[in-house]
Amino acid sequence: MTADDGDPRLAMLVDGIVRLSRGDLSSRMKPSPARDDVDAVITGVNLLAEELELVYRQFEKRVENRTAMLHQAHLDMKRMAMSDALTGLSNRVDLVEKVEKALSAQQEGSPPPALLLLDLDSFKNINDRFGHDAGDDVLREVADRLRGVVRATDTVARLGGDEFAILVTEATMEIALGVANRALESLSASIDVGEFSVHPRASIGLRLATRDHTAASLLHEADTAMYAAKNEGRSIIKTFEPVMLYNRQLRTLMASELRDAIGTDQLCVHYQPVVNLADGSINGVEVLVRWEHPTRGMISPELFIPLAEEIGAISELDRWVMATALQQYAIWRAALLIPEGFQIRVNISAIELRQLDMVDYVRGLLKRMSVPPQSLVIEITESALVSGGEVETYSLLSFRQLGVCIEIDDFGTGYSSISYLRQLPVDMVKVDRSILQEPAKGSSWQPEFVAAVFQLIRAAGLGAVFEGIETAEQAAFLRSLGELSGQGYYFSKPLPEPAITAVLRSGTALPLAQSSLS
Amino acid sequence: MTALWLMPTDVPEDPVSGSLIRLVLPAGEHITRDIAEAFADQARTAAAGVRRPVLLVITGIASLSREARGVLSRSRSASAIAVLGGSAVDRVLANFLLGGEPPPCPIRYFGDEGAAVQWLSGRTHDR
Repeated sequence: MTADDGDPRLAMLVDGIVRLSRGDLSSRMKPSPARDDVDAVITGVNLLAEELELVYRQFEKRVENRTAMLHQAHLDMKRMAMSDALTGLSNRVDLVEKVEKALSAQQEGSPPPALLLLDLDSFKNINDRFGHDAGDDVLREVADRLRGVVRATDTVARLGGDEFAILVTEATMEIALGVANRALESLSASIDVGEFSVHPRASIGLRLATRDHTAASLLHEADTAMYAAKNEGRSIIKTFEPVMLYNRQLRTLMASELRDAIGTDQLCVHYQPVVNLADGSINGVEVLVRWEHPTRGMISPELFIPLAEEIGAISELDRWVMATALQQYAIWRAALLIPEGFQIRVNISAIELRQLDMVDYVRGLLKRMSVPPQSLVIEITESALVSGGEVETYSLLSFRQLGVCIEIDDFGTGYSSISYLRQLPVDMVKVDRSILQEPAKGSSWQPEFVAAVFQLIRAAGLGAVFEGIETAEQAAFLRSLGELSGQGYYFSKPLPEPAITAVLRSGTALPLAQSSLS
Repeated sequence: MTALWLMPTDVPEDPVSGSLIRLVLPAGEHITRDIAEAFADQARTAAAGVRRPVLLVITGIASLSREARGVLSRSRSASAIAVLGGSAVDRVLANFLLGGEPPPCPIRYFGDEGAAVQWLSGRTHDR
């Protein structure tokens, strides 16, 4: 039987299949009470449609779930990509995006955004002394505090390491400075790290955007201002000035030139005699590095040594100086120009104490040059000694074991307490020139104070060297205190190699102009 | 009413008939999950903790929902299920019942009751 024959069920079946094929999966057909083959087909199609509808619903539900999961994963990824995992603050990518938005808003007439870049001072010390977990705790706490000083519309970001940024939207210089000051203030309270407290001071660079700024240039200029703040001292806010860019470029140029200069004849060492105050005899020299720049002339070590530390060239520099000095010592010794007990004093950067192979390097040099270890004095700044960790102490003890003398340099400028003087593995103390010049540069010096410092050093069982002796009066007074050594322009300025060799060869007492020391 | 659908056989001399459970789904009804559940419950009661062969008569039912098919084909009290129908429609319905999830026991469609009972008797030896 066909539809043409007049069985209406076949026509119904065709219509039903057409409806299903159009996507109406809920369509069903009613079989007749005959329950014959045609009804069986109708029933079968109904059941297949039911199955299809179910599978389709399940499929749709699954697509819906997967789409939701995908959307959530996308959001999570975006959040991760836009935030700093440690602190939950925005990261650099998010910050740049928000800076761009704020700059666009400025183009449309909104007040300009301001960008603050903030770098924690001495954060590396926290990591070194207390470990990275403690360092992370400090960063999280700093993040919380910074969150507390901004408005809801501002953004606090961590750019990496100990560097943070605050985007102040719709700002004026006054508003931005207000945020910067609140940020500094929020960091003034100490943070507890285990049993210790650390003071998370920071340097802040600030730049208020102009209409010409891009996100990159705003970041760069805020960074430049922060860099200037950092160079100037701790807990300082600096607002960007164009001259800072020039200084920074100069510094970058100098950094590259310094790398090239190390090991060439641009660098040389000068030697400042250290004198036995009792008789004016030279009992040693301090080796001082000099940089004779081909176009800019003599560059102060106060400028290029911190730079060498910053660019990671200090190790190479220190080792070059050490090798040059010991080689010179060996030459003097071979030519019998130096008396018994003569010591060559070489400065070492605090960073160098962290290099585990430094001791081996010095041991190798001493052996190769046949220099007795006790003829070498390593001068280390007071702050390096006090803030040093286990590695530094290990290096110091290894040097002592080798027989090398250790001297605290610049004593009186750091944080040494009397107890530190007794605890540190040092043999000698070099009293900073400022002690002789106290209370203020240019004013009359205070002999009683100097005497007390000397007594303190003696009481700790250490030898004393005074630097910065500029007058006969100072020299005479120090001589009256007891057996000690000194150096300074009164006796001799640092001399280049030929000049110091001539002085040593002459065997004369210093100062040269003085005929008698009585 | 559902009590009438459960009709344990009263032919004691036939060992197979004596042990099988005969379920007769009501002709003309749309068999839903609830109806199927009621049958399954009563089959469980009749089986009294022993797995027994089931003769499931679907002759003349209007439809058998997907959920009802799930309930019937998942029977825990059956050692084997013979589905009995009389028309082409019953056969189609029955085969959807068989074609679902793998059943826990042998299950097969018959158009003839004698063949169904015989098959079930063969299955009793499988226990």
